Amino acid sequence: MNYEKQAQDYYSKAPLIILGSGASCAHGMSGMEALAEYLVKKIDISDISAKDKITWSEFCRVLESGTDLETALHQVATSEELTSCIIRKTWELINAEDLGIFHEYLQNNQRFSLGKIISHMFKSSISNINIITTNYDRLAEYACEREKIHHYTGFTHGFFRQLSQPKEIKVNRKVNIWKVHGSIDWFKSPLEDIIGLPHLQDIPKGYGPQIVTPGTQKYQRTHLEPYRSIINNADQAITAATSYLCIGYGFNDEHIQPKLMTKCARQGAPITIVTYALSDATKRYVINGGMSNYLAIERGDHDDQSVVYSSLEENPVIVEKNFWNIDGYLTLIT
Amino acid sequence: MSIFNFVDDEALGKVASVDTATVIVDVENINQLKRLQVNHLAVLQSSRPGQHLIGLITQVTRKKSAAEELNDGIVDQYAELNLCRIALIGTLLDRDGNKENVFRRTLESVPEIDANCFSLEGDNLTGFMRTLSSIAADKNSLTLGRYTLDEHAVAYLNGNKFFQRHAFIGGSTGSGKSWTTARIIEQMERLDSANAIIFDLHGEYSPLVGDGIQQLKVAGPADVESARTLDEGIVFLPYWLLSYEALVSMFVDRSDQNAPNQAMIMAREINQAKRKYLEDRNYVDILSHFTVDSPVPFDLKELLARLNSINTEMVAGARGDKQGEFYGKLARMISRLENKISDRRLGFLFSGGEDVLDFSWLNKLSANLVGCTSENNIAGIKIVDFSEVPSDILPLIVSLVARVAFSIQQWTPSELRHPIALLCDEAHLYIPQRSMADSANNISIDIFERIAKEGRKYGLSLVVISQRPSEVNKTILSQCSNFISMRLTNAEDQGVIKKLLPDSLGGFGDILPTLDTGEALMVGDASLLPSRIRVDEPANRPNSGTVDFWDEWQAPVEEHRLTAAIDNWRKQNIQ
Repeated sequence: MNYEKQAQDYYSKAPLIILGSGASCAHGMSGMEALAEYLVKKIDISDISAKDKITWSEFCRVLESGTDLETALHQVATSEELTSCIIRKTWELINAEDLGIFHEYLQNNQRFSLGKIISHMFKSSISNINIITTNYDRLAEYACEREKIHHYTGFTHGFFRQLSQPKEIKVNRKVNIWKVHGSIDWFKSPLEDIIGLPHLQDIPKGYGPQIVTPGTQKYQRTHLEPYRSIINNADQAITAATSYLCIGYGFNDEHIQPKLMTKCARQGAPITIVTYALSDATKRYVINGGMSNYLAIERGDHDDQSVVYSSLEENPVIVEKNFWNIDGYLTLIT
Repeated sequence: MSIFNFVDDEALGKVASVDTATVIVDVENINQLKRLQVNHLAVLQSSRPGQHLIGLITQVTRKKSAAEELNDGIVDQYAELNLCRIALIGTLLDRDGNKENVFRRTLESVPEIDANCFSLEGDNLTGFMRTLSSIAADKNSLTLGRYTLDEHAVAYLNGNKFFQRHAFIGGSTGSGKSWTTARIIEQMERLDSANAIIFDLHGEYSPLVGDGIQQLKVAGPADVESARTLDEGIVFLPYWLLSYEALVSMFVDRSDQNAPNQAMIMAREINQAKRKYLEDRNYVDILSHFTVDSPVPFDLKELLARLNSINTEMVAGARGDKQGEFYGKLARMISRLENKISDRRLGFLFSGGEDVLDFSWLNKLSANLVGCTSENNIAGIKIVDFSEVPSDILPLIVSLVARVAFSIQQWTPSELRHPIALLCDEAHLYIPQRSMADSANNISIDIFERIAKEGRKYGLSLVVISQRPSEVNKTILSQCSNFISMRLTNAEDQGVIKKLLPDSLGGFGDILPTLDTGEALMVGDASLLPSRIRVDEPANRPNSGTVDFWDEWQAPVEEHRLTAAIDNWRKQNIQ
């Protein structure tokens, strides 16, 4: 099986990059499980209303029974107040971890793996790279800046960033980062508009963090700006792309899925997936879902072993090399 | 990782227009424009990540457009148009399957308008040349020298491809042709089972020595007299090895009105003589299959006697005996034949002695000529000196050796076949254009054309070496897919090489007359890029025979040189 050629071929089509939580986990950020734990520990029930207390304890019980965070939040209808509390606590956790990674980077000045890919892709005549991410952290932005590449996330640049149109930022090479679930530096101001405030330790008074946590409210919120525009832009980017590279993405997001499925399953666009472990959804949609051009690589029994699933081969192949994380994938294509 | 580390700011400029294989780059960086040189390399970014397009700069222009006076009296600055034309020659892939940094002579993607273009220099150039070089670069790869563009980068050739589909080495006299040939021979010599025959017409390659090199010489008059043999490196090429065609061309004068009869009788009698030889020695299995061209010895004296008797034959007629059908018609042929036999210079054909007529002699000769080191216990590379072969029959004799090699390859079962290369020095002498050929040449051309067309299948390769590419047979040149061209001053000869270059690289041919001694232009499938190479000096320089006129004229002259020359001339022998 020539999965190497397949990977290089898919990559040469300048793939749109989709980052899932796995991409952040690689940097030691909390996943859903850790977030759930954090929420249970940190949410102070003494401050919330009696009704919410009942909801919360029910939520905790569901979680304890082994249900994951997302499902649990779907099962329990949280009030606006409780939701806001969850968002703030989530923000606290992710923001602290994000800043931690930033500070660590300042010390060792290493390159980000994602940045290496982006830099390599820009050694071509491509002037725009699109990254779609479901993560709230700013790792993609850090990666771009480390490589001296301009990025656009829907806002103007600077300290006090306001929503802007993609056309407003004109540079030779640009990475568009579409953060479909918001970002830890997005806030709703007292004037009810959305502002980007980078690198805050705390949430400014009167400001509300703009991140979409799992749960029923996910769908209400994403109908509103800026998510509506961002998701629209992400959709357009997916439609325009001819190849996809999913990093640590588990095919569990309804905001990305529909267009991606149209392109990959119906139109045969090639898709490459590199991840720690392929999720059930990935296996269902990609490997057994009749996609005609896919290459999915997950970690084997140890770091230097990869399991390669390819549309060219019926059965997965085990390779004694690391191809499953970004750095490993890079050795496959460069 | 990719060998190219270009920063957008360093770009020469952007692609302004794209043609099939040429692009025009609008050069923004004036400082770079000045440094640009035609025939240097440039890199274009492609629309595909992980790939770069490689091109050759074919033209650099700077134009100033006339000053334009704007309506309010302000004169616009002189607008400059700095353009650079680049012929695209290939793609560098960061990865191809499991191979890193692979250069391909194809364009996998087309360049886009506004794509950045970079000049390939410094580390990037070294890296690229290394990439070209490192392909199949192990300790035994074929190298000619170093790239002129980057003297640190060794120019490796793909040895398989170089020999597979024949090669041509050309260049005016004194441009370094024999150096290049000597370098190739030296490298072949290092291989355990290398197998090659070098047709050395002037004894130029006699200084080449080595464990893998064997010097042979076609017997001259002196060698015949002193009865030297194969063991001493003296080759006899007996008449019975010549094909029927070759024998006819040698003995029958085409302009003779009896030529057809003579040829017919020749065929019949030679066949008869060969049959007799086989019958006398009881080779029954061969008897039923042999033809007039089969390499079977026969007795020339008997043939002569037979011809004489036919020439004087009287047959019974109605009124007593009358002259036979061919009475007197063979006289001229017989005298021609007798002349040749007694010609001292042709001793290697007719005066081989008894052992040459032995049936097993061909085995011995082929082991020497076509055998590898392990087979003939001497060496696989045979430099055959033809310097004492008279020029009128040179094509016949050279092609005879080629034919022996070809026949042996052809009659070897494919699984036993071992490849052999024929290096044909001064090829224009025995493989000329058809239009310039006489009958002896035609026979030679037939054989070499056959080798050029079919040799590849039988593991027989030609390396044609000539100072006059325009005089070398076109069919053979067209079969060569590798060309090493040294300096060529003659326009016709340049034309031959230029025609071989792809249209987009036509400009490359313009450097042919300006190449330095020892510099070569390498084109073909053995080298990934048409490249200018500085050929390394061989360990043993071939004997080019250049006479230093000015110096010689200042020195005293040897005594008796003229009388010695005349004496030798008469004796047909250099004492």
